[in-house]
Amino acid sequence: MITIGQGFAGLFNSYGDWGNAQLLARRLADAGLAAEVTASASDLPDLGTCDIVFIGAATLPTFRRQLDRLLTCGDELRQYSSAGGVLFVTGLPAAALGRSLTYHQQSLGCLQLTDQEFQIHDKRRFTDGVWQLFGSDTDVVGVLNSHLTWTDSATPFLKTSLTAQPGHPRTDGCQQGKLFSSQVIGPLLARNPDLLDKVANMVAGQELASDDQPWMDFEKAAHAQADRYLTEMLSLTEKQRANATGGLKSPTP
Amino acid sequence: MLTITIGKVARAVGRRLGRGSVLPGRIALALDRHLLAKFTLPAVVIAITGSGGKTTTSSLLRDAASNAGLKVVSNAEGSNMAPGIATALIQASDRHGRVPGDVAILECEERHCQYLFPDLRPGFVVITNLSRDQVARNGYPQFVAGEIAKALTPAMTLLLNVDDPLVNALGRDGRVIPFSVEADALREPAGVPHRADDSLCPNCGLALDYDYRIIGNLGRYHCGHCGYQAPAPQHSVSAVVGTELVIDDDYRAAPQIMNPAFAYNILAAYVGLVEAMGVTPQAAADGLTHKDVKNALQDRVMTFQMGEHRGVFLLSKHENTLTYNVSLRTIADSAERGYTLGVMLHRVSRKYFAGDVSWLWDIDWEVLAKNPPAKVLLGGRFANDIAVRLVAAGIDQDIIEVDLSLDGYMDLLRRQSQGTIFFLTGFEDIDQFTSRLRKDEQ
Repeated sequence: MITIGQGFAGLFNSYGDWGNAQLLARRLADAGLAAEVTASASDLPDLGTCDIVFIGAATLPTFRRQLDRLLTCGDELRQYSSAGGVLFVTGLPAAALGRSLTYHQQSLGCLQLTDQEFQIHDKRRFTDGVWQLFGSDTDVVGVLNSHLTWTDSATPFLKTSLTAQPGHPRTDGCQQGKLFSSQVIGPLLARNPDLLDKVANMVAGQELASDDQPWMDFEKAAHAQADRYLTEMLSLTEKQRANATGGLKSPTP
Repeated sequence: MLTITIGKVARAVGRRLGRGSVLPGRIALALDRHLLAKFTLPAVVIAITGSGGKTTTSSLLRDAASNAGLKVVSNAEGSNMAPGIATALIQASDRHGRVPGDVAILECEERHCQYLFPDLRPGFVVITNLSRDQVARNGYPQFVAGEIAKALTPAMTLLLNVDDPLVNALGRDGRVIPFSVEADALREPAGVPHRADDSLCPNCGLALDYDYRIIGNLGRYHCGHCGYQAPAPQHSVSAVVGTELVIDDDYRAAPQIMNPAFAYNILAAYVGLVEAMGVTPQAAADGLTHKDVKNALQDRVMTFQMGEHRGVFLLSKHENTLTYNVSLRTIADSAERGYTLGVMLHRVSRKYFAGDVSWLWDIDWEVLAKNPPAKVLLGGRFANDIAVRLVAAGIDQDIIEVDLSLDGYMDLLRRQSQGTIFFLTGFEDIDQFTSRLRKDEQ
């Protein structure tokens, strides 16, 4: 039995975090490997029993309030990670994994599990975008830029192709061995079959057959459609986009 | 007063241009940004705000107050920001800005309360709930709660749905009338696997413990760390008997559809009628029974006929998990076997460009396992995204059919439906559906 853990599921849980764990379980089950999801509301699950642990995204107020709680788990997570456990963290908690973390020029504590330096920006918008998974030709779409963290990475995970916010090309998150940290939030595994396979293979410790995934035809069609739509729309100026959509504007704070 | 006269002229012109719901207000506000303060409003002004249920609660209040013999002024055409409210008041007022009537019922967009309330000075404010809703535009619910808090003053009487921990926290100052849905029959079944909305203590930020949930983060909660909890409600839905809600133990109102959302909306309207307008509890409950919930632009729930198939249209709200969850629970609880589930998702937002559909993953589609559809027909630009989510939720992919074009989708519904069609979409897409439906009928 493969155990998929969701840490701090009652505190750090944004769009798609639940879906990531569930879809991985489904992917493993379809490949003939029994898997179960176990969630812990305000703590880590028993890491000794987990093959992978997800920690989901959080709003800025929640993250700031709960950061200390996350930091107390540093030794446990370090031990788990060095023992080969897979860790997948999205949104602001991903920033807590880095080498340094600043907010309003103030240094916050962090776990120093990855080499990245993070800053939290005091914006509250979540924006659309298109990202690319390093080592994959497939774009990641249908997820959101949580925009609250920013990092340059020597071990990149996702690369920004387009976002609704102006900005320079950069990397969003990192992959160091079996540790994934992503600034982008949402159903990442669902929206990139290559990433799902990569994580599933890592958790299973074997190359899984990639056929027989019943959602795949729909996902391919959804992906192509979203890619087309987002690429077209995000490439336009605000005025052109308004004309093309019958007056839709970018969200404004 | 010249501004109001100009607004009235603009309204006449706007109606001819089909932009009657906001254009006059927009023009008048451009001339006088504090126009709303210039109206002499009825003695009772009641504002309704929150993430969901505003329009339905306002509609219920409006209809029931009218039936109780009160003369009502309202922004019934659905625009709930300053231009829409200004337009409604321009229409209702005389040229001196006097708005005749007994009560003004004003639906207010939650982030705009801070700009509206200083001029409108509502004596009563109903807050329905605060859930994750259009995050790209609104941000997270705690942020929205903070925005509403800026608008509230101790002079206002707050009618609060205290089942929502964030709404309850808004009642720290001033006079509060708490209301709650407690009925066993409306409680969320055990084992719902995930939560889309924070269930965190507004005081200390730790996870709340729930004795029960009605839907999502609404329910009976307490914080094991700091003791935060809701006060005892002054009004409640205490039970469900047959097709009726029992309010305050003694009064009965029958909603159009029995589900938690209608229970909350009817209760909020009941509290508004009794506490703000002085309607007797019996008359309030009677007035809220079997109301067809409508406003001038959209039907919230309706039935339709598509060929030989009866359809039930449950209006939800894209980017708002709570509304979809309520609709799905209604289907799972009430649909007869062999039904068709139809979902349309073409335009995520009415006003803003958005291609994000990650919110689909927070909806409890899994609840359909209790009463699975015989056929799933999906339409619109993002139909395949829904299909992925449904298959992940355990729906058999062989019963799912998709058409991205809206005309093609209507044809798919006509050809492939089985049994009753339970149709879901957000009000962002409702016009796309109803206009095609009407074309069919002609």
